[in-house]
Amino acid sequence: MNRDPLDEARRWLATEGAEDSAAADAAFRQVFRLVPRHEPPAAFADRVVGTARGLRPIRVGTLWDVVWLRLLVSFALLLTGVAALGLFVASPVPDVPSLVSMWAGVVSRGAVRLRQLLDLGLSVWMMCSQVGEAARAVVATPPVRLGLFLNGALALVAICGLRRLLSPGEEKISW
Amino acid sequence: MTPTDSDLVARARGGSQSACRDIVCRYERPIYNLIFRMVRDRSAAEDLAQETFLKAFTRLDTYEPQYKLLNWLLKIAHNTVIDYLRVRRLPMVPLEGSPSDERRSALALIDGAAANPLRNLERAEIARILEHALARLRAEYRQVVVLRYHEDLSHEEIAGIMGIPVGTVKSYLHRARAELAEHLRNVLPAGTWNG
Repeated sequence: MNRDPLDEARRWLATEGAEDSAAADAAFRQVFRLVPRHEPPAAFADRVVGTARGLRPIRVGTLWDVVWLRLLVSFALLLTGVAALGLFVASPVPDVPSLVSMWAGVVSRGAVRLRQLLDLGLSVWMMCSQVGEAARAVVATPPVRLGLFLNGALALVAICGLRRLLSPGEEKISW
Repeated sequence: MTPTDSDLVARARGGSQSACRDIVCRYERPIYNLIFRMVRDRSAAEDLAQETFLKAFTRLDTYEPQYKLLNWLLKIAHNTVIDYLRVRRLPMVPLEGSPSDERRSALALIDGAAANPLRNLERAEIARILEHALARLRAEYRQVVVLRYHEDLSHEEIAGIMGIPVGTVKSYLHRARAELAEHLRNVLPAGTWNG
């Protein structure tokens, strides 16, 4: 740069005072070239690459990329294979009627269990419904309605305040 | 022929160490410079710059080629530094020297300018005064100044990196320049800047 740095600085301060943002931007760019850049140490790249060797990349892949899941599925398939092999060895010619009977027993027991669960779910639902009815009766009274309205308004104000405090424009990370 | 950023990223994704090294060598200066300006501690800046590159290497799959690699790295650096500063809350301490030292240097600068013998000295002194003033700015102001005037990024790119609206970037730049100008005017005696 062959220009007089003091002249550059004078020009910048003059444009800054004139409130001409584009001119101030250009003039300050010239002055700021004087400010040196800070450089990392010479062996920085070696240090980073040396540390990176021990890392494994985080891949955005499918569920099948999860190693333990693959192991689990493989183990399950292996167990199934062993069980099937055991059955075959124990009874080379499968006893079809007894197998069907066993399957029917499992299905019927499952159906009974499912019905019990549905009954339980229904009774819980009825209980919740009664609680809801009671709550509705309480909420319908004017004082409770007013309280709820005030509570909602307070929450809204709190959210607006928090958003204002946490917005980047207001974030203060200074020293 | 110099490989493009996309080539380097593709090779680095494949596990190439030389590609990783090339990425670091290509972008270590802007990343380190930005981080150092933010944390003002050489050792912390080295650690955070390293953390930035390591995070980038472990997340290369999320890099989108239409985005500039430097801007992507600067965004990671920004987030890394913000996390660091949130925890540390560094005290406000001048980089070096005191206002009276600075005033003495400025007077020496004026003497030098009057005799017009040493332009390099003028440059060095203005740089030193600006650097000191820069260190006293809020971290966000400092960051936009470095991204804008050292890295030559547009307002939109800075907004993308810092995750703030473009209008806020312009406002930060305006306030930062105003504070730096005020600092210069305060350090130097009245009338100095009239030529």
